[in-house]
Parts: sequence; C-alpha cells; structure tokens
Amino acid sequence: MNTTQTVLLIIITLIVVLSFLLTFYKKPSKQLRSDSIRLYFSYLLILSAMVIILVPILITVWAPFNPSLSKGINPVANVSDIKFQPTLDAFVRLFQTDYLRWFGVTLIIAIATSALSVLAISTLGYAFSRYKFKGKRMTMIGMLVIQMIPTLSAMAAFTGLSYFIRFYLGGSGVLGIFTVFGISANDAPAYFTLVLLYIGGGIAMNTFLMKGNYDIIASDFDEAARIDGAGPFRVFWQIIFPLMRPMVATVALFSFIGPFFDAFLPKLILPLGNYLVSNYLFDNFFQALSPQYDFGVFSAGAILIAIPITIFFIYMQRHLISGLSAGGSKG
Amino acid sequence: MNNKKKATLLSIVPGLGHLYLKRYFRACVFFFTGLIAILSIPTLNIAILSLLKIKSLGPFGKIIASPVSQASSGVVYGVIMICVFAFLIGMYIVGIRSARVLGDQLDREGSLPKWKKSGKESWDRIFPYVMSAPGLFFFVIAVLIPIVVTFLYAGTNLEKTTANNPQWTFNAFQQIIDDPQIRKAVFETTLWTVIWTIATTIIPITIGLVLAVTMNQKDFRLKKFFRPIFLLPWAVPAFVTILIFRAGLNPNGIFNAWIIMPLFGFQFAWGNPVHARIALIVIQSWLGFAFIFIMMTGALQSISEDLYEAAKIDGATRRQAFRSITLPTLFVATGPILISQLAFNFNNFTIIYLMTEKSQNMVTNSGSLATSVDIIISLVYRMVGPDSATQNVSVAAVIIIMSTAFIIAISIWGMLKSPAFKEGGGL
Repeated sequence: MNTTQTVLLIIITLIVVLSFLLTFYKKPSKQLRSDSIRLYFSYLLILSAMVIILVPILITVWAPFNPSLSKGINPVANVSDIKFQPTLDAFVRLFQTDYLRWFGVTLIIAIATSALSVLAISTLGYAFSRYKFKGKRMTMIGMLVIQMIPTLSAMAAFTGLSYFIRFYLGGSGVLGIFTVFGISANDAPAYFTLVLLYIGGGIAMNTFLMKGNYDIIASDFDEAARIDGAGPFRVFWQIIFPLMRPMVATVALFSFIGPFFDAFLPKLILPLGNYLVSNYLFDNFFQALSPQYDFGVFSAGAILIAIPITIFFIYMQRHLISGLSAGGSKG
Repeated sequence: MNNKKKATLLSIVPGLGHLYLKRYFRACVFFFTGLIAILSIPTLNIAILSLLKIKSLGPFGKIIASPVSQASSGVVYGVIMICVFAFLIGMYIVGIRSARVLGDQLDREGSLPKWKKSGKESWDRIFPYVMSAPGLFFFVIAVLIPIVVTFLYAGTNLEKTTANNPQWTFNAFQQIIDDPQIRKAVFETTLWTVIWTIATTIIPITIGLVLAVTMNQKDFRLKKFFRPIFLLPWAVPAFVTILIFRAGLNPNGIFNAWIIMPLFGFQFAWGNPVHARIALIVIQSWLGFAFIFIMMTGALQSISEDLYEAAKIDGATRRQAFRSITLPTLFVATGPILISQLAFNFNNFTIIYLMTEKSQNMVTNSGSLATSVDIIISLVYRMVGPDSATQNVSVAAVIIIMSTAFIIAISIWGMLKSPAFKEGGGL
C-alpha cells in the first residue's frame, strides 16, 4: 500500500463518518429511516464531490508557497522533494521580473476596455429598448446572428486589422500613455487594436443583456420626465442610467476582468516583446522550454490576480446570475 | 418652381439646399461631410485597388510584419474604406431628403419653425441614431469587418508562399479536397470536435444537475458551507486552473505521480491521444459543471414552496412531487443551457490553446498540422497563427465558413425551439 492509497483510505473513512454524523447528529425526531438513507447517500455524494473540487484548488493555491521550487524546478510538476514549509520566495522572484510593468499595461487596457464598453453598450441598449427607428429591426437581427459566430474565428483578419491600425496610428501621440511603460509609439497602436477587439468580443451579448434590463424599467419614468420638459439625453443620463447601476457595474467589471486572463489575443496581435500580464507569465515562465522558466514565478503571478477575482465572483454570484437571466429571458 | 424642388436640387451640392432654407447649422454639417467624401475619393481608389490586388501599398514604415499580415491588411483597408464611403454617401442622401422635407414644409405652411424649436425636434429625431453610433461603430470595426474580411479570404489563395503575389481564386475550396494533409486534418479534427462537444456538454450538465438536486433537498444540512465551495471551479479563472492541470499531468507532475500512478498503476502521457483526450474532457467537465450547478440551483429555488405543500396535502409522495414539480422545471431550464453549452464547447478555444501551446509532448496526428486534441477552431489557429509553417489563410477561411454555417444552423434551430421565441418575445 502506497502513500496515496493510504491518504485516499483516510479521506474515504472521513467522508463516511462525516456523512453519518450529518445524517444522525441532532436529527429531527420525525426523520424516517428512508429519509435517513436518502440523506446519508446525499452527504456521501456531496462530500466526495467536494474533495474532487478542492484537491486541484488546494494544489493551485499551494504552488507559489512551495519551498522546493527554485528556478527551473516545477513545483507542481516535480514532487520528489515537496516540503510543507511555506515560503514567499517565489513572490520575491516575481517582483524582480517585469511583472509589474505588464500588470500596469494590462490595467490601462482593462480600464479603457471597461469604460468604452459601458459607453457603447449602455447607449446602444437604451436606443434598442426605448426607441423605434429606421433599421433597428435589421440591426438587431444582424447582431443576433453575427454574435453566434465566435469572434476568434476572425483571427486571421485580426492581424490584418492590427497592421492597418498600426499603419495609420503608428507614431502618433494619442497613445503616448504607453511610453510610460517603455512601449514605443510604433507598438502602442497594437494595444489600441486589443482594446477594440476586447470591446467587440462582448458587445453583442452585453447589448442584449442591457436591452433586457432597460425593458424592465417602466417607461412611465421617461414619459413623466419628458412632460416636465427634459430632453432625451437628460432622461437617459439623469433618470434611467442611475437605475441601471447594478447592471452597468456588472458589464464594467466583466469587461475589466477580460484582459487580465487572455493569453491568446496579445500573442496574436502584439509585436514581439510586448505582452499583457497573463500572456507574459505564460510565455516566459510556464514553459520548460523557455530560458526564463520558473514555475514559482508563474504561479505566484497568476494567483495574485486570480484571488481578488475569485472572491469577487463568489461574492457577486447571485447578482451575476440573476442579472444574466433577467436580461436573457427578455433577449 | 416651388421651394421643395429648389431645395432638393440645390442639395445636389451638399449643404446648399439647407443654406437656401436658412438652416445654417445643418448646412455646415452636410457641406463638410460632402467635402470629406470628395476629398476621400483618391484614398478610396487606393483602398479598392489594394483590396483587388490583395496588397498593402508600400512597406509599413519601421513595422516588421509577416508578408501574410501585410497582404491581408490590404483587404482590411479596402473593406474599411468602403464602409466609410458608404456612410458618407448615406449622409449625402440624408441631406437631400432633409432639404426636401423642409422645402415641402415651407411650401405648405409658408414659413419654417423658429430655429430653437426645429433644432429641438430634430435632436429628438436623431437622438436614437446618436445613441446607437458608438456601439455600432465598435461592432462594425471589431466584429463585422473582421468577419467579412475572413469570409473574403476564402476567395483568395493567400498563404506564406503566395503572400507576395496573391490572387482572387476559388482554389481554397479545391485544396481542402485535394491536399491529403489538409483533408486528413480537417476530417480528424471534425470527428474529435463532435465527440468533444457532446461529451463536454452532456457530462457537466449531468453532474451539475445531480449535485444541484442533491444539495437542494429541504433537509440537507450546511448548504451555506457547501455552496461557495461548489462555485470555485467557475469562480477561479480558468487560465490558472487549466495550466495547473497541464503542469500537474506532466511526467513528474503532482496529478500524475501522486494520483494517477498510485491509484491506476499507469503513467499519464500527453503523447498518447487517448490519454490526452480523456484528460481534456475530464478537465473541461471539472471546469464546466459549477456554472450548470449555479443555474440549476437558481431554477430550483425559483419553485415556490407552496407547490410542494399543496402536493403533500393532496397526498403525493416525495417521489411523485419530484417527478411532477421538480423535473419539469429542470427540463425547461436545461434547454437554453444545453444550446449555449454546445455552442460554447464547439468553439472552446481557450482550453485547447492553453493545453497545447508550445507543448512538446502533444503528438501531432495528421502530419504536422493538428494535434490529437485540436478542435476545428484550434486547427484554424494552427493554420494561420504566428507559429504556422504555411499560414494558409484561405483554406482556414473555408473551414471557418463551414463551421460557422453549422453553428448558426444549430443556434437558429435552438432559438426557434425555445419557448421565449414562440411567445413572440425578443424581436
């Protein structure tokens, strides 16, 4: 019997005992025997599922604290000498790399994506929800159909678009903000292309979500305001938009998170030597083939971004789902 | 000659008709859009030429671009300029019509409303268009144009070897049938895509359903403790978990050495297509079931407690109540999820990319074109991506057209079947 089998046996015993306890400890007096059996097997199932969920999560969280990963040794991929003495060594090494630089770049991209997405989606959704205008039906049907085509299938055209934009915006001062991070004026337009593509990726779906949520707000609000003499923009900006704050926040946060975990588009679009944060980690530190390979740095960097986002998702879960289904049902 | 005719005729020169009607602001707007249209004709000419010749004109300054990207940017340039010009012509027509309407009003009523009032009215009228403009701009530039350009590629012979002198031809369609390497890759990935899509849809939905039903029993304890844990696979970014799985399944990896080896007695190998495929299905199921779990829990919680009470009073057993109250609700909730999961997994590029990118372990099963776990969209990436040897953009475009037609057909079928559509909601 090897270690794993022993550990597994202990876990199984624990599950069996815990299920037994949950079923019978302080049980209500009217609990029938058939109820007890049903509950017992339910607890067995849920507890086993919990183990299957938690093992990879724990390994993920443990990885950067693993002391045995010095440079070149894969903490997850090399188990021969794992010691259970957590260390912050990997984080120290992480901050010696360009991590913060690319994190900053990603932050700018994320903020731009988020702000422009909210602007585009809240206005377009409002027009779709509140107004009848020429071409509206055609536009909506067109967007619905095109939205079914995954944006990534146009990846060959993305490179063409990127070079087109670099041709026209290359060297221009508009994108000078990136020079703060040592990115040349010639490369900055590629980041602008990325922002465009991130906005485009979510625009159709989110617009229909937004429209669904605008539809819920009774039009009495706007009519009353119109009678009081408010212009159409004032009705939108001062009356309807504030009511949509939760939905706007959801869209903003979702589009904000996107760039942080995309390892593909940056590689496709950005010129050599330019990164976003997760694509920087993946390309340089994940691969055993790469010269800088250091799994500790990779997992430390990835987990630093993942933790706040995980907490946010769990905290907002109810809200996210209800927002999605409210918009979806009205589509 | 009445004012209507005069204004219309004068509007042939943009802005002049409005000038005649003393609508100076609009006159300015239409005059300048017209001016831009005329000034952009030479650019349009260049753009259309670059579209027809599939060539970017001149080198891109200091930018080092692959020949394929340069050539394809010519197509993008052409399509964008055509869109811009179509917009300007649209504005021109709007100008003529606006002048005609105003002239007509002048004829009938003898005078035009005060500037302040008419300005307010036209602001009301154009407001929805102004509101739609930013959203539609992003949609057109970042979604519509790339897709149109991709479809156009299918009619070229653009690849690395022809990038200096590409042509418009329909060879790509022929090439898929004729080239044995491409044919084999397309056939094998299509087969695997079908298996992958079905497996990664059915398995997570089943697991998520069973777990949601189990945990939602009324007398189940510690729901508040278990539920956040069951959200974790959905809440932790897939980028992190997928790569931890990948590293852990390497020869000395923790999953391999600590779990698979001691329990099942064999070494997991990425090089073995069966191993790799099963691993991917298991990992995607692990990632995917949590979302189904949340959706199903939501559906279950929306069932009113009174229904069960009423069933109990009527003498129904727990099993009967489950069959006639719980199950129908779940079926209604499952339909849309099933369709969206099918569409998502059919194009689930992220997991394939993260698992195979720069991997030496993954065995390529059709010459050098595709690995054993490549689905259609990642095959496209193998063909056009920066690491591709041939960058065969045109054949990739044909593959995209075929798979897009398939996925749109499925989605439309699903939409027509869904109750929301039948009730006439939505559009």
